[in-house]
Amino acid sequence: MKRAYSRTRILLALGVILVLIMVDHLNSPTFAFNSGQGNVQTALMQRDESACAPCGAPCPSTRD
Amino acid sequence: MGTSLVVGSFLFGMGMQLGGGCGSGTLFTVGAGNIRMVVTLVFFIVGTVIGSMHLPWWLDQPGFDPVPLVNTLGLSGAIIAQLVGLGLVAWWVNRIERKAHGSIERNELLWKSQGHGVLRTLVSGRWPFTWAILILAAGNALTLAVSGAPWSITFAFNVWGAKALEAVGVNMAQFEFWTWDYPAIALKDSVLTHIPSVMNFGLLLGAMLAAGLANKFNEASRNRPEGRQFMAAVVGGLMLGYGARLGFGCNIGALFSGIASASLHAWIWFACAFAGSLIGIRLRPFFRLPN
Repeated sequence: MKRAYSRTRILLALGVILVLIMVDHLNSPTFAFNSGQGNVQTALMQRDESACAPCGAPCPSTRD
Repeated sequence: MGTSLVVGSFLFGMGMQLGGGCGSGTLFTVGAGNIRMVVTLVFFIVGTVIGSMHLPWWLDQPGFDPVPLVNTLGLSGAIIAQLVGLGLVAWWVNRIERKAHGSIERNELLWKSQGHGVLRTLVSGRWPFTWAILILAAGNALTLAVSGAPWSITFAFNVWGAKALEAVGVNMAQFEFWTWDYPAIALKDSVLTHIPSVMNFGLLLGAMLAAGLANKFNEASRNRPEGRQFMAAVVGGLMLGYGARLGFGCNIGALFSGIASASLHAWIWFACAFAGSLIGIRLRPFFRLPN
């Protein structure tokens, strides 16, 4: 049966996504912190306890 | 809970019917190689970013703070209230199914697939619903234990879209949403430190693997989406994204995880998304989508 997709295209798409993720990671505070640079705030250190929703939105009662 | 939740979940319900899936549904169909759903996902991401720009305005409309049922009814009361609610939903949909088809399809609730042995079903599907139900429940409990928050999907779309805009020179800090602590740090840091993003990558790869093992990868994409069907993916994706941001999540983050954490907002989300979905069904024929 003829395949409904091209393997090369799939691998290319996965490769592009991997490159984007790696560029994002290599430029991130977490990578800097793990490489020995102090004094940077990373996502792993912080969770906003005052937030009202998973996206970090504040509670209506705290808004001006 | 308030205007943004009602409007957002209603839009999300309509978007599900036009876009062809929900938050998790869009991801797993994209993972399985469905080209139409790639269009939906792209506009889903666009919608979440637009929603994040508008969310502060929506939050200033009438609303009140979340109501955790555990605080108002106690632990046992919250569990009982939720079980009664879920029981009523089950009774209602059973009644509708019996009315429409004369009987209720019970094969889905069997432990074993009728066609194949357990091993073959495990590898190449299709899994009985009972397996999926248990894995979803155990998986969400594990997610909560490991990450400190239940499973969510769409905030990751927000982060991906905002990162893309920043990459082309847009300063996202000009929008209030991206100045709030959690979104700001999620935007600044690696997607590999962002749990919903990493779980979404896993979902995509898992769906790809499952579709491949079942020899169904890209099976749904032999006909490319064109014309009104393409438009439905665009409009549906935008509604899904905008609705998810205003409604504080999708069927996973707001509904599934919301009910699992006994939050009243999840039930409001369910009612409004259901109403939106009913209207979305009526709109499907206009976009040449089968009902």
